[in-house]
Amino acid sequence: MIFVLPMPTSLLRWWRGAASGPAVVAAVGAAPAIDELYRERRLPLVQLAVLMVDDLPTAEDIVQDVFTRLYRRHGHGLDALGDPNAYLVSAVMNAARSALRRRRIARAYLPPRPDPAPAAEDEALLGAGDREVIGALSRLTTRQRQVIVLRYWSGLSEREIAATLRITTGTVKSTAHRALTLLRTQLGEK
Amino acid sequence: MTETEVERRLRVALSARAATITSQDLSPARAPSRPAPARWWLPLTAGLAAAAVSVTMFVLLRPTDPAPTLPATPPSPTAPASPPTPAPATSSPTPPATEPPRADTPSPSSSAATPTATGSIRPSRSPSTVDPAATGADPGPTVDPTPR
Repeated sequence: MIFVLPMPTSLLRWWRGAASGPAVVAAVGAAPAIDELYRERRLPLVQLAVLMVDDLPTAEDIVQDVFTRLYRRHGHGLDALGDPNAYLVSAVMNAARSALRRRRIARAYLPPRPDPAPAAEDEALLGAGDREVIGALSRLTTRQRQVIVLRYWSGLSEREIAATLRITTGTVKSTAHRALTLLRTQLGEK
Repeated sequence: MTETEVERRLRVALSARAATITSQDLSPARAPSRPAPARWWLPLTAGLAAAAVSVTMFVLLRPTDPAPTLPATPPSPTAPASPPTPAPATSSPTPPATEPPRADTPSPSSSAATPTATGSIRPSRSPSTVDPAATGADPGPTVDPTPR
């Protein structure tokens, strides 16, 4: 008696992949475009996220989540994205904003904790003036902080900032103006 | 458009803060890979394969049926066995098939008074069995008729 079982197509695909050897599997399973993008852009994106959330582990998680979502959504076909770098910057900014919002909500329900002491390497690498500026920056709103970081660290123009944050150019200008005014006040500059 | 002091300090501070993060500070992480596809069909396929193997093995290895036999007859009430015919007590001796012993060679059988010849068939009568004919032949106590 002969039994003929219908074999799912995914099983056939898996069978073919297993029979072809690891070289073919690696060639098919890895996306060279996103690998290259990951190697090139991971560190700048983590630095950008650190400037937003002031926390290296959280920044690393944000960037990893962004890359994972990018890969799940687009897979190998990064060609569908017009500018992958702009997409990544926008995604990191949105994720950082979500992280700050969650942190703010958690702080509202948790007992206040003393501010963590800065790391020793930050003490050594950052001068007192730099720490003062970073401290003043952390007291801005999330949107103001985003605009300041994108403008003075990433070097984006107002139009690029508006496209990244999906706001108008006028909003970028007004937000930057208010942020600079607050910083001047906090830093004691006339 | 000249850069103000705040803007210059902002650029320097942001660059210095970002420079504190180097590639050595990052935890080693692999590039995101495609998640494993849903393999919902694996248990289904395994179940079908197991069922197919079970059916095949049953078909191939099932024991052959014995030839059909009639059902056993129920035990019927036994009819009384036919009474063995008692051996004639005095039957004419048949000439023996063997040569009769001579007179000068006495044999223990010669002294026996039973005239049964060798080779005669006698019904075996075991002591445990009761001969109904014998019991029936045995007259019971008779009752004398009472005079009127």
